Amino acid sequence: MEKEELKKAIYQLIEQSAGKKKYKQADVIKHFRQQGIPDADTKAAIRELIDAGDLIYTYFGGSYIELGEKRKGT
Amino acid sequence: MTKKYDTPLLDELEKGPFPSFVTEIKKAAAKSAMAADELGQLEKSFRDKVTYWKHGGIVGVRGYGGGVIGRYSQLADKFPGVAHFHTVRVNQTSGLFYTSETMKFFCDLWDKYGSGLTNFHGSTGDIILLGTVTENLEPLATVLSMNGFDLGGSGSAMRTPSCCVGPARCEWSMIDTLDITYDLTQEFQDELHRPQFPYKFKIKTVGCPVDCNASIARADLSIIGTWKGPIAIDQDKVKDYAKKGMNIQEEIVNMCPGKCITWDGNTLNINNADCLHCMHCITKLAGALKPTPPFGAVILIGAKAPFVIGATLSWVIVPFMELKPPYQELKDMIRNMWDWWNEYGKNRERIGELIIRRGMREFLEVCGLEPTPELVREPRNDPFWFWKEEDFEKKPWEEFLK
Amino acid sequence: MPYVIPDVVDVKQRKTDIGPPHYKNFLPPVIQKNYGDWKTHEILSPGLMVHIANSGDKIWTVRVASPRLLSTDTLREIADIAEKYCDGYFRFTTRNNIEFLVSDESKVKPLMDELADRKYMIGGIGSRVSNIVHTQGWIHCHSAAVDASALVKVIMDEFVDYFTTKETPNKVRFAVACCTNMCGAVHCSDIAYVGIHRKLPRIDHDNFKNLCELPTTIASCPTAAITPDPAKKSIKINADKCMYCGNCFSVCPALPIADPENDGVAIVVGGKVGNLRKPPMFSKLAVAYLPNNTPRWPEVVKATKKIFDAYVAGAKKHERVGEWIERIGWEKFFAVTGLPFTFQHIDDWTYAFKTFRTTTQIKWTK
Repeated sequence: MEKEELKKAIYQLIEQSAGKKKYKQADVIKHFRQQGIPDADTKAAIRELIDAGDLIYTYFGGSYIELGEKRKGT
Repeated sequence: MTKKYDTPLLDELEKGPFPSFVTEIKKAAAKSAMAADELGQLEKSFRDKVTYWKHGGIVGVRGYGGGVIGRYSQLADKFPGVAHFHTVRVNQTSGLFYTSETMKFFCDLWDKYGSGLTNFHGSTGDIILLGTVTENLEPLATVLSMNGFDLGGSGSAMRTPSCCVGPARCEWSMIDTLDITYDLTQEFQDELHRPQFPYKFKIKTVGCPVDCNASIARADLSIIGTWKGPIAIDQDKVKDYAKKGMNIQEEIVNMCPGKCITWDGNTLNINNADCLHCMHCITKLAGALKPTPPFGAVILIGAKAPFVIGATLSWVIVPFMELKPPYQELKDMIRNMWDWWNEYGKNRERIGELIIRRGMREFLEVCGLEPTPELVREPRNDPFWFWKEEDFEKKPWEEFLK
Repeated sequence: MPYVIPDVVDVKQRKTDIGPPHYKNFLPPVIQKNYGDWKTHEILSPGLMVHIANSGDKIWTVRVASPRLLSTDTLREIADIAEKYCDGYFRFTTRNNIEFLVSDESKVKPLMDELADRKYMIGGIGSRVSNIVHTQGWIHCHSAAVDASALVKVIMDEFVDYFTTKETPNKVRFAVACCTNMCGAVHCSDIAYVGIHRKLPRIDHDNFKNLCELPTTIASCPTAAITPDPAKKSIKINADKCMYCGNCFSVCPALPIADPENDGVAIVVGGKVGNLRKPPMFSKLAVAYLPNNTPRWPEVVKATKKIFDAYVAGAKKHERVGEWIERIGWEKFFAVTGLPFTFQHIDDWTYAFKTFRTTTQIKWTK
C-alpha cells in the first residue's frame, strides 16, 4: 500500500470507529499488520497524520488516537 | 489589580514555621488573575472539603501526545481565571541542577504564559508549570524549544526518566546516573512524546543501593548501581570513628545483614564473599570504607503504585550489567520488552502486571535473559510447573552429575 | 546561553524531540572538574555538608526547605541568592529541598546568615526529618480525597525541630498521596498519608454511555465489583465487593466518588526504599481513617506524633521506622503507640492470607 493510501485507510479506521471503539496506536498497527502492512510503515503513517493534526493523541485513563477535530471541539 | 478573596481557612496555613504554599499562591495572585482564582477556588475546597477540578480534557501541542495535562474548573463561572488551568511538564535536566539564568528564564516565561505557579519538581521529576490556557500552549512549547528545552512525558508513554545526584556530587555513585538518564531520554524521544504503550513506563536510575530516587518503588525499570570488588578499608579512619564515640560493634558489626564484619577494637575485617552489598557500613563509615570495581548496575522491573493488582517493588532481572556508553545492551533490552508489552498488554496494564499475567519466563526469554538464583528470593514452593517442548531436549542434570 | 522570549512567537519555529539540555551546562565548575571523582563528605550541621574530591577540591551544600509549590517571585529570589553566593549554581533534591552549591568557603556563612534572615528553613541533612514528597491535592487534581500541601505544612510545622536541629534514630521519610492512585508513591515511606473514600461511587447512568468505555471501566476495578447493566447501557456496582478505591472514576467521570462527609486520611508506616540492612519494605496500615478537618487536620497531626514519639523513644540507632516495628513486633507497636487496631487492619484483598500470623510466636502486651 502506498503511504498516502495507508494514511487514508488509517484515518478512515479512526473516523468510522469514533464514538464506538477507541484505538491505541498498537491497535492500529496490529489492525494493518493483518493486511500485510509492516508495523514500521503504519507507525510512520500515523506519525504524519499526527504531525499534520488530522489525528491526535488523546488521554482518558490511557492514551488513544482520535480525530483531530476533537481538540478543536473542546 | 487582581481579584481578592477572603481566605480565612487558608490563612491558617500561613501560620507556623514551615514555608507556606498559601503564601506562594498569594504572591502569584498579586500579579496573576489565574493564581487569584486558584486561591479563591482552593479556599472553597477547604470550606467544602472536596476538590473542584474536572476530569481531564484533550489539550496538547501539535505532534505530541503528552507533556500537557488538561485541567478545567467545575466552578468556571465563579472563578473564571481557572476555567482553563492546564499543567505543562517540562523535561528537567539530569540531577536537577540549575543556573540562576535558567531559573529566571523559566520565571519570565511563566509570568508571560501562565499563572506564575510552579512545582520544582513533580513526582516523576519534571519541572511542573501549573496553570495556563489552551491558546498559550503552542507559543510556550515553541519558546521552550528555542531555548533548548522540551516537554516531558504523560499518558501511556515513556515518562520523563530521572535519577539521583550521582557522580556529580556523591562518592558512592557506581554508575553515571546523569549520563544514563540523559542518554536514554534522547534515545527514546519518540516514546516519550508519542504515547504508544498500553500504559505509562517509568525509568529511574540511581548510583547505589541507597536508592535516593526511590527507583525500586517507583520505576517500571529500576537501574541501581552496585559493585563486585571488595570493600576497601582505611583502618585509621575506622579507628577515628571509634575514638569519636561510634560503637562499631553495635552500629556496624551487629547491623550487617550479611554478618560478614568483625571488629576487635583495632581492626575491621570484612568477609567480602558474604557481603550483601547493602551500603550500611559504607554510609555509616563515610570516608573509611568504599566500594571498589567492577562497577555496574542491578536491573529490576515492575514497580508501581497499588492499582490494579496491588503495589509492587521492582524484581531483579539482571543481577549485574556493566553500563558504559552507548549503553547498547540496555537499550536493546528495553526495546525488546516494549515490543512484547505492546503486543500483549491490555489498556492500562503496566509491564509488571503483564509479567504476572503471562509469566516471568516469557518476559525473560523476550529479553534474552537466563534463569539464575539471583532473580528470586527463594524458589517456588508449589508442586506444579510448566514444561515446554524445548525443555525436554535439555538435560541439565547430565552436566551436573559429571 | 542567553535565553530569549520573543514578543511575537512563530509557532512554526518549534523544534520537536530535542529533549532536555545537557546537564553539564548546569554544573558548577568544581563539579565539572571532579565529576565522578569524589572521595568523601562530611555533614557539618543539619543544613550544611561538604563534599571533598580526590583532588582536594571541596564543594559546600546548604539545604533549605521548600513547599514545592513555588511562585516565580520566590524562584527569582532563590536565583538572586544563588548569584550572590554560588555563582548562580543551585539544585533541587528529589524531596523538593533547595540546595545552594557553594564553591568558595568564605561565602558559606554569609549565605547561611542571609537565608536565616530571610526566614528560609535550613536543615534536613542526615538522620532527621527531610521534606515531604507529595501530590497535587485540591490545588490541581480532580481525584484528590484530601489536600496534599496542607498535610505537608501541618506535619512539617509539628516536626520542624527535627528538620532544623534534632536527630532521629535514622532518617524519617514522610509522604502524602491525596488519593489511592498514589502519584506520589507513598507505599514505601516511614510514615505516609493516603486520601481515602469510604462510600460507593455514585453512578450517573445518563452520562455513562457518553463519557465512559464499558470494558475499560470493568477492567479498572481491582475487586471485580463492576458488571454491565445492559438495560441502562451503564454498569452496576456490587456494594459487597467495592472497596472505594476510586480507580473506576479515573477512567470514567460518570462515577464520582468524592464525598465531603466521608473522605479522609489513612496513615501507613514502616516502608523504606533503600537496601541498607533490610531489603526495601512496603508501608503498612497504622490508622484506617481520620476525618478531613480543614484547614489543619489536628487528628492527623496528633496520631502522627504518637507514632513518631514512640519511634524516637524505642528505636535503636540506625533503625528506620519499619525496622524498629519489625524488631518489637506489630502487637507491641499498637501497644506503645496506643493506636486502635480494627477490622480494617486485617487484610481482605487478593493475597490477604500472606499477612495472617502462622506462628505461636506472640508478644504479650497486656
